[in-house]
Amino acid sequence: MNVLEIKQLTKKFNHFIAVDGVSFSIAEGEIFGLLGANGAGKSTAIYMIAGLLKITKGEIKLLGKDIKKNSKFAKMNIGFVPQDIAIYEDLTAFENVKFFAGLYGLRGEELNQKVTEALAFVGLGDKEKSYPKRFSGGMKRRLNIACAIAHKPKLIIMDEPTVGIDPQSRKHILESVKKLNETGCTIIYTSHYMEEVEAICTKIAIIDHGKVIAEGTKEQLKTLITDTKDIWIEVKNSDDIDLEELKNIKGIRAVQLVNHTIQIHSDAEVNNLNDIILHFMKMNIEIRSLKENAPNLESVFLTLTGRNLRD
Amino acid sequence: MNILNIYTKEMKSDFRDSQTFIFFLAFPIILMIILGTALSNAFTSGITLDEITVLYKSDGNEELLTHFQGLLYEAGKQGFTFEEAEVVDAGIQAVEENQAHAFIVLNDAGIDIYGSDLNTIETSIIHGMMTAFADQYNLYQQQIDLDQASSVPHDYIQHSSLNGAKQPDSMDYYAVAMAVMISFFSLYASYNLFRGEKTLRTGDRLMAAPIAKSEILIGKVAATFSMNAFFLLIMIFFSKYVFNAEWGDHLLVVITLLFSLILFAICLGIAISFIAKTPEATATISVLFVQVACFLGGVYFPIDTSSGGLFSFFASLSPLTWSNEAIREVIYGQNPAAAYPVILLNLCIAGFCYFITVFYLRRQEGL
Amino acid sequence: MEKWLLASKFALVGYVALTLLDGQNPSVILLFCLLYICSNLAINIFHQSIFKQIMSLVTVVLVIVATSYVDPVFILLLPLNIGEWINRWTGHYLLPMVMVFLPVLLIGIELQVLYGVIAAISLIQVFMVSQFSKKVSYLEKNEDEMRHSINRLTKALNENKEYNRQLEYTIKLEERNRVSQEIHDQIGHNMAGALIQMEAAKRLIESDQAKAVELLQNAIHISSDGIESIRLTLKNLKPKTEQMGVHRLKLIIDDFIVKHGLSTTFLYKGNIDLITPIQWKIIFENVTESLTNAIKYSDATNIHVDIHVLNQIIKIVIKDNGRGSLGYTKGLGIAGMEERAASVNGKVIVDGSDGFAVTTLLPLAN
Repeated sequence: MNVLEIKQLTKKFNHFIAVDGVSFSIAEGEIFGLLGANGAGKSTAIYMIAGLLKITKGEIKLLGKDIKKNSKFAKMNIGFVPQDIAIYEDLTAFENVKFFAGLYGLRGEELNQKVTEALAFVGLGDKEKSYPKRFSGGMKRRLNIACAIAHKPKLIIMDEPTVGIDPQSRKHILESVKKLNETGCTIIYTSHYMEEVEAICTKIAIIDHGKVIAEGTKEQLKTLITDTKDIWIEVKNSDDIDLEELKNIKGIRAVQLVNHTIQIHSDAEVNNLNDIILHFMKMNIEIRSLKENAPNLESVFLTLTGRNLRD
Repeated sequence: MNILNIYTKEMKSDFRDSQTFIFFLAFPIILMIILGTALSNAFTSGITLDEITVLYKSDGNEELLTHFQGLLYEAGKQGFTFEEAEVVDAGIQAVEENQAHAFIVLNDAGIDIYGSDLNTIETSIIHGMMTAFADQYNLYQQQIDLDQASSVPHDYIQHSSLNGAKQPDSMDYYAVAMAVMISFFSLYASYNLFRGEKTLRTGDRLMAAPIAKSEILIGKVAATFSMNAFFLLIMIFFSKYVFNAEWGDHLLVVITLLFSLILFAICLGIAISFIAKTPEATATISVLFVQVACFLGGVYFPIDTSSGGLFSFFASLSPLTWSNEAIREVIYGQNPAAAYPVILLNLCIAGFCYFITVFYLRRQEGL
Repeated sequence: MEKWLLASKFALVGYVALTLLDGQNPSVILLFCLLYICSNLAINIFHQSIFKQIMSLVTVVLVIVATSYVDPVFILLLPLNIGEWINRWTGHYLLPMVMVFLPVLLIGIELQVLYGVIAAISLIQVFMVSQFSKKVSYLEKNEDEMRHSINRLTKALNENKEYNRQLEYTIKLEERNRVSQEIHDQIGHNMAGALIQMEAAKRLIESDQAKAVELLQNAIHISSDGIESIRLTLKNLKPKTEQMGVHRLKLIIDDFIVKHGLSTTFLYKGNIDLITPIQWKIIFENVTESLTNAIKYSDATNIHVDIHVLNQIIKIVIKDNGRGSLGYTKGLGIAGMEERAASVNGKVIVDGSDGFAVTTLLPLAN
């Protein structure tokens, strides 16, 4: 079942078209990554899903219901983690989460329990009574997430949740995103960090100039561009190498020897690096360096849009 | 329910901030002490009324005249000078030329008072006195109707409006002025209500939650109102019992008026924050507006709005002037009715600003 | 909508006439009432807004004259007219409100309340009428645009069909031509040669058997060569759309260089044979459109056309080095490109941030 279905979504600001006929759908249990440069329209799209911006044209359906007509239902089922840290500095961590969760109709003991759960989930269980003024950037980010998940939404929207924080907090946040996903949450995730998206997203859409230009799993996206990869292996002594034998390894299409470097052209989808290395070890040939030039999301993005994600 | 949520959150934020206490409580009280003591001499001589001159003319109502003469006797002891005018026109002319503060005509239909706009305080005192006199006289007349035999009581002239203790001294003046001022300072608390959500980015989060903009608005206005009302009440009772400031016999009316002023200031502040484009502009407009209004409203030193000059004209435009004068009229003129038009006006402007806010909130996306 | 305004004006003038006609000077009052009706009708008759405004102004002046020289009751007619006039003139709501209520200060106390009520009702009516007429004209404009785009789409659809039919026919024709040419040139010669050899062998089979066998062997060789060349011919005869495509695109670009003198570069990368005729058609049209746009708007000195065939996607970029445009409006040109691309599930991305670049992404057909 599709948690979210978007059809021909369009947003105009006066004459500027920020989102231009975007359509995609997100199945239950997915971590859906939205990739795009600054100003590509991903935040605008997200804001429309979260009900922060009016929809100029098109349709968004959450759990089968149009969010324009069922705005309260939609908001109850969505948890929104804004890009900027949005918490009250003069309320404690507990009070922050409690205030926002309270807006979703939770009351009394149930409210307190869910707030405690949410704080424990992001690893701030021992900081309930502290004021966020004294928090590090990473802790604020985690509190920012806790405020959006206490009411147990079906769909969580995370807009750049890892901007400007230390690696440890980043790791923690990525892990909690996965844990949230395991508890049954569907997640929309935007990020500038290609590695993050590659690591956690089950499906990815690339947005550029307000349009979805490609969509699919990361493997599907990579095969859009190419289905081959290049492996360069520099060896100490290349005299007694049998190139023909290398070609028998699965996936390898062509092999060439230039100076001391063996250039291997291979199918991208086949993971044959292990076999190749094993082959060299069997032949007792010393490997000096190894470089693999496989397509990644970064190169997909660059090829399709002609620019880097982080300009 | 969400309104209550917003309300409690705002109250928590307000009362956790020590600045709130400094700004809305310590500042006015300290200012009251400084101004009240430093300016006490200059002030008392300024406000003490030297002598009130009243002309009167009787038009044949003998019974009324008898009673009136009783009033003359008592009032003469309180610093009033009564003279009888020869003809009505002469009396009116005297008032017009500011030779007398008021001219009273006693006739069969009742009492006509010709006052001068140049001397608001004197006129209002005379007005208050004559109103009291008329009330007493009516009462007396009815008693006569009921019981012809009872003797005429002569103590009705003991009206509080003539009590010496009721002359405003500097502390009384600044107690009222500071109350008006902190009521209007609510604007400082309100102009950041929505701007704050924007700069903190929590506005997005609020908009993503199932809560209507109107709930946020009402919750915030209610919380700010409660906070300011709370500090206002503390200040009033502090000045009343610690400094013995005069708050008159109609304290409830005065408080209602100040509450309406708070509401006015809150709604105005929010409206400004929506009309002005940037946070800086909002802050500048708010600070400037409040300070000019306070200055013209006679918060820092009394301004005579009756002198007729350009300055007094501007002063009469300040909402604080209206409230200040109305409160003094209530306290010293014993005339609670003077507060009602100002309350109404404050509420109307508050309503107008509220609708401007609602208009902007509905039109724009987000908060 | 304006009919309703007119109706209320007449109702008001009726009221004024009824209250005044039994007094003095009924003839003058009647005259003014009639003048008022005439000038208001005139507002409705004219279509140009300038005349409408002039007549509105005339009406306002008429009412003021009647108020000051005939009877103050005429002021009751003012709010509707002054509101209508200023609202039409400025489009604002606040100014008419102020102007309508301003006369309250000038008129006698006995008329003030009535005037206030009428002013309020008139304002509401004027605003409602103005809003509804705006809405109506907006909807009409929308409908017009929609009708236009339906027309355009139908036309494009028909053209597409026609083009496909023609292309198919041309390719068939070309194929047929080539087949006949090749058969004539090669297989024909071969077969003729083999035939002659076999004829000779038949004659020699009695007299010189060894020679006959040699001739037959020759014929067999020639025949097998012929079969090979048939295979080759058939193989070569596959429609070379890619050649046609690239050549035609080069032609378009060369033509453009000649006409406009802009330096234009063209590059292609990847397996260009995979592009289908219909995709080529879209590429031609989008390139032509973009080049025309560049000439019209960009002040560019250089245009670069780049076709890149990736694994599952074709990327066509036309980029100029002109002044670009950040707040471009989507005109018919770009909309047309998008529609064409969408017909084969493709996308068009327009980027005006650094020069002007139009990127068309088309999925490769499997």
